[in-house]
Amino acid sequence: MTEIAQFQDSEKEKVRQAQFSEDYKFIIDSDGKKVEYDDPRIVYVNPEPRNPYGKQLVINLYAKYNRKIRISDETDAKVLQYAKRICSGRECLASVAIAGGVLKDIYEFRGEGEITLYRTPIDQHGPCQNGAWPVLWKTFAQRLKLKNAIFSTFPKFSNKYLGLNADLIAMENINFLIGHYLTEAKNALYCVAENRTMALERFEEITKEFIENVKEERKTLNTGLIGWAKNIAKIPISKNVEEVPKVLIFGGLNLMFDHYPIEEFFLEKGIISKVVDIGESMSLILAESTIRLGFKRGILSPKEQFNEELLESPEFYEKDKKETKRARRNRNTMKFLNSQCKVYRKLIGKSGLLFDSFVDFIDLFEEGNNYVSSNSFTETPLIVGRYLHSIKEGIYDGLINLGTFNCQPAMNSQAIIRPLANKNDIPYAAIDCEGPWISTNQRRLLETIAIQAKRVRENKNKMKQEI
Amino acid sequence: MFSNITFKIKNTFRCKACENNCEIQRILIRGKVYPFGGLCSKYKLLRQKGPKIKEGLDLVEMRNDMIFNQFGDEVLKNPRGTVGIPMALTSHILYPFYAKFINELGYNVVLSNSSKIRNYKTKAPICYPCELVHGAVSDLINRNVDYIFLPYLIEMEIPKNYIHGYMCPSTATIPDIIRAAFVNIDERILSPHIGIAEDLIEMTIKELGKVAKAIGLEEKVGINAGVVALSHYKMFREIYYEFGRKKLKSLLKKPSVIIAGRPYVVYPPDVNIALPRKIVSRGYNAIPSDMLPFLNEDLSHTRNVWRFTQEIDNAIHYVKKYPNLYICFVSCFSCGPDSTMYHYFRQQLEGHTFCYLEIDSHTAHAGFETRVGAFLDILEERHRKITKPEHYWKMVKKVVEE
Repeated sequence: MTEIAQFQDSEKEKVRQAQFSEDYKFIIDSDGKKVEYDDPRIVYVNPEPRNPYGKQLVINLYAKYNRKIRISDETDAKVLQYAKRICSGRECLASVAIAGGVLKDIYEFRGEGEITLYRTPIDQHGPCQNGAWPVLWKTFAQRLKLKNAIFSTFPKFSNKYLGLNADLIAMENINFLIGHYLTEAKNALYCVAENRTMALERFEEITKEFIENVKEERKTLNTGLIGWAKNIAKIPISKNVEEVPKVLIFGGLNLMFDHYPIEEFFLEKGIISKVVDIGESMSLILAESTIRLGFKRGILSPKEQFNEELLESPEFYEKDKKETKRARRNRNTMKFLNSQCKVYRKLIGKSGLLFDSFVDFIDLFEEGNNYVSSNSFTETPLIVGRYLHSIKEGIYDGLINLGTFNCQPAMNSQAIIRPLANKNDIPYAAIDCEGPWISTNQRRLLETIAIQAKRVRENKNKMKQEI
Repeated sequence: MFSNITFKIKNTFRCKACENNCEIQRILIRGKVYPFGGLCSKYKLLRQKGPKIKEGLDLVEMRNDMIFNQFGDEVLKNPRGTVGIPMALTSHILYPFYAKFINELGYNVVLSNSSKIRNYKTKAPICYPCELVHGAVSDLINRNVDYIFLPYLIEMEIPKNYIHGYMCPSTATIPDIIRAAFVNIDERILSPHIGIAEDLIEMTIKELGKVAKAIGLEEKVGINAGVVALSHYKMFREIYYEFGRKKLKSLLKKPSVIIAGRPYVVYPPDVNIALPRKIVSRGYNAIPSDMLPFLNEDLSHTRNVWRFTQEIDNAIHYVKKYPNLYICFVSCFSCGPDSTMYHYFRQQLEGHTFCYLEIDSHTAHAGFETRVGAFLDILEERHRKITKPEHYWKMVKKVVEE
């Protein structure tokens, strides 16, 4: 493609952009006025889609802290149509879908007089495309000429969590995690329920009640989930979750934007589909500083890079105080996240509907590192590690590596996994989507995987019976 | 009208203007012989009436000569063996470093033929430059080299005002992609992690020590070889920048085109579809963007995290500063960094004439020629039309004097 152009876009009508104060203590609006973070005009927006349960929990959580948040719905054709107004179409799906989500929010939901902080789901320093999202959005902001909107923001320690606080951010992630596990349980119920329609209706009722109880502070997350699990366990099922074939949909960040049709496809076939645990990608983001710190010192394996003795050693600290502090802080957050994954998996697991297991990110990364360097600062080793682990673990009967157009880490993972998959018996397919839809050819491929996955599970069940 | 004219191909010859060695046909029409063909405009312009255009200076060719010949490998008399370097990706930037390191280990270098075949070896839809690595490695395997040097290049030098100088995710993981694509090659691939960024030098040297160990030498041999190779590369960089500085002074007097993009796409003659030749044959100078020292004018954006997009950004600063400079930047289909930075570049170039091209394994010469031709036509038209005011020439003079 070629473009020869003398651009006519006029920058004459420049709009003063709202911005954060240098010390991030307040916002300076487009009129140059100081605005405190608890100002009712401020709204945080997550333009990336999240599962509906996590989304509702997070909205309620923000309300408790007197803050407002909007979270995008599933990415669909309309969102991508919006994206076409500013994107070139060459960007990865994550970039495009986020742009579409932002524009949809501006056109359909943004209130008058609002000061909107558009967030980004990750703040990684590259080499993936998201490394330059701040540049991209600075450019887009100048083109959109929108007053009182700040784009590509990410709450973190160094920017004082953009007027939020560490607890709220932690709770936000935990709520998304809970939403993710609830979806896992719902997908299982879909395939094992005695009466699917009634069971799903009951599931929604019980879950709604749990969310309301937490919102109204009648129950905490933990006590609420204990009650939730008890009630869910009463829904009649016709078979055990273990007996039913299962497919894991894994890949990079792009999964957030395009997994729905594949998830639905397998459910329709009576196969429990599960999108890879979001806790794993949360850890990847947190891991970046530790990987880089170790890498600089010539320590290349994830296990060694995350070795606590090493991280705590004065030698490490003296050489690079700021980076070591950041690495330690993130390592602790990862540990906290792991503990929360285990706690909520256990609580929700009492429903009898969870089947996946918790795996430490470092273990996955280490496994992936045997086939692709973990020091490339991308998701590729995590995706490869996830594949290898799933093969060994045997929970899943089919594996779908879902990538998207122009997602280099996903494509690279497909190149690495292909020869490994040829040696294994678990059905595997690599799919690259350009949006949340699947082509006829991809559907045929998924059909093959579905049939194979059913056979694999049948054999496993038979073997179990024989034993 | 043409039905009565007889055309006859009298004979053909190989043009020696560049490495492409195009086949040129000598066509006989009404008793007169016209040369026809080639990837650039050389013979087209010969046929045209009017004043003859003097070819511009091809600095890309000079760059390649510097990297691969002047600062390239030496042939050792009693080598320990051979190490192959794929003529692809980072070899087009760090060849002086790679070749010196291999020579210092006592091995001769075998540079692969650049190859567009064997791309079917790829295991996933990856970009064109990575496809080319598959072809190059395949060539080295066929030539039976003892080892193949294919490092993980993570980061280049970080220019002032930036926080990183990353390679893209595919370049950084190419050794593993190649390992997955070829059978029984694992032990022959030498792939140290390399970072030219200041804070990664210590790690790089350590890694080069491991390479020596892997081929049965003492670790310190590799460390010493690494130190020598790095300083050789730094010397090349300084001389190259100095060469660029000097050349630029004279080039600013006439219209020149900066060719910007990933070095492994825009500089190798068999990949760039004779882009520099197309430009110089029309009378413009062709300047490689990596020859331009960083202006460091605090205009950069810190989160432009890739080395090569930083070079493009730098080239744009030159274009904005010097009125006789234009930019032609080249990308590939599904290039992540370029797809993100494109919007920023486009905005920066507002009001300037520029050309943006994409090259892939399926890009044909004709379409490419048309697009480059159209861009150069616009430049030509612009220069023809503009009667330059006096202050313009004063400015040019001032810049040249600077």
